[in-house]
Amino acid sequence: MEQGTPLRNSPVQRRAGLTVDRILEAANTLILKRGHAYATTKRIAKMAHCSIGTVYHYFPKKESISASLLENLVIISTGPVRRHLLASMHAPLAECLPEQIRLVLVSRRIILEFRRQLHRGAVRTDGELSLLKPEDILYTTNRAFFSHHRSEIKVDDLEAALYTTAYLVIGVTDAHIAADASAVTDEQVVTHLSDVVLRYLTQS
Amino acid sequence: MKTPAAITLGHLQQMQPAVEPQLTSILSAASATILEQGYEAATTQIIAERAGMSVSTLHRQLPTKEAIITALYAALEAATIEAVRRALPTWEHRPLADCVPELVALILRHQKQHAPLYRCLPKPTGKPALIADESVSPLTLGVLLQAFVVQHRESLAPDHIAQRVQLLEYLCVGVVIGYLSDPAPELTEQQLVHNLSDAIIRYLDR
Repeated sequence: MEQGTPLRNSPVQRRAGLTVDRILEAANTLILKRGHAYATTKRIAKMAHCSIGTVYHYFPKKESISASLLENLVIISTGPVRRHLLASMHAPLAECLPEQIRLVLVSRRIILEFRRQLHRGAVRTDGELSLLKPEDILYTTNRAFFSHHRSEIKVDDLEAALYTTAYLVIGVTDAHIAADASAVTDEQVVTHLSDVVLRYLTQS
Repeated sequence: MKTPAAITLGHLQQMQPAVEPQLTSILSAASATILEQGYEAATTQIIAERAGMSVSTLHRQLPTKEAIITALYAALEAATIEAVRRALPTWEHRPLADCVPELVALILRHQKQHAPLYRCLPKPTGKPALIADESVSPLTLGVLLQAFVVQHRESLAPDHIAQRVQLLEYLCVGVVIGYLSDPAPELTEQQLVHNLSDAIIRYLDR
């Protein structure tokens, strides 16, 4: 991607800001209802009541719109995860882990469902989407959470423990979401995965 | 029980007769096209052309691009299943702490061969594979992991066995695939195998 952000020009006026919102809202509706392939820039422009030129003014290509939508979705869906991390800085791991993992599961399901909609249109977007690692957005908060629980965590290398936990939680929740026939319910995944993480972190 | 065909990308051409030859050439053409040109460019027309068949013949086998991807995932999984099946007897009567790292390393090694392809593919959609019945092996990784758990039942926590087997599958495959699809992994492969095995052993141990 040539710019750091999918926006080609930042809106200078309040009115312009509303146009960007309308474009994103139209794209979101079209992608979720009819799939990514159906959501052409022409249809997005028509629904957002603006010209195709205006769409391209803000987004150099259609994939930038999807990337921007995904970015927004990641921020919204990880909000509850972040708030719970902040609220549990002083709670024992055994107490806060299950709720933490339950919130991650909800967040991953929203993100993966949107990605699935994007891929249904057989459009390859990974080039741009890989710039947004949803699991990375909470890095600082996660790190603070791990530091606050240092006395409970028996793994020597805290950084390695943090990354291992991230791979464990994201890997298991993603596999559970993708599974067509699972032997476990969401609640059971939360219980068992909390057990996995707790034992990994706290047993010496 | 029928022996499943060993399918790796390198061996798609010389696959066992258990899988239909047409399906073999479709999957081989699909993976090569996706690797070279990307997922978007790999249309069913291009895949059919490369496989040396008409689009309608391809569509009779696999009606949509999604079906091709699902079949491709099934073929990739078959190689891992076969490797675990072969290794299973070597884990008999040996401590869990020795066997789990071997199991995790084996799965990582097999999945790694397909890592470039995984990075190009969307995640599976959760629909069952649309492959002709003949080629579907009754052997799944879940069945093999269940056998693994039974092998070590004396050292395991005895409750919730079915749930533990499912979690073991998520941990062995889901975590490894998640790690491999990370373009800039934060841990080395050795670290991942070591830490993941630790987590699995502590979870299963009584």
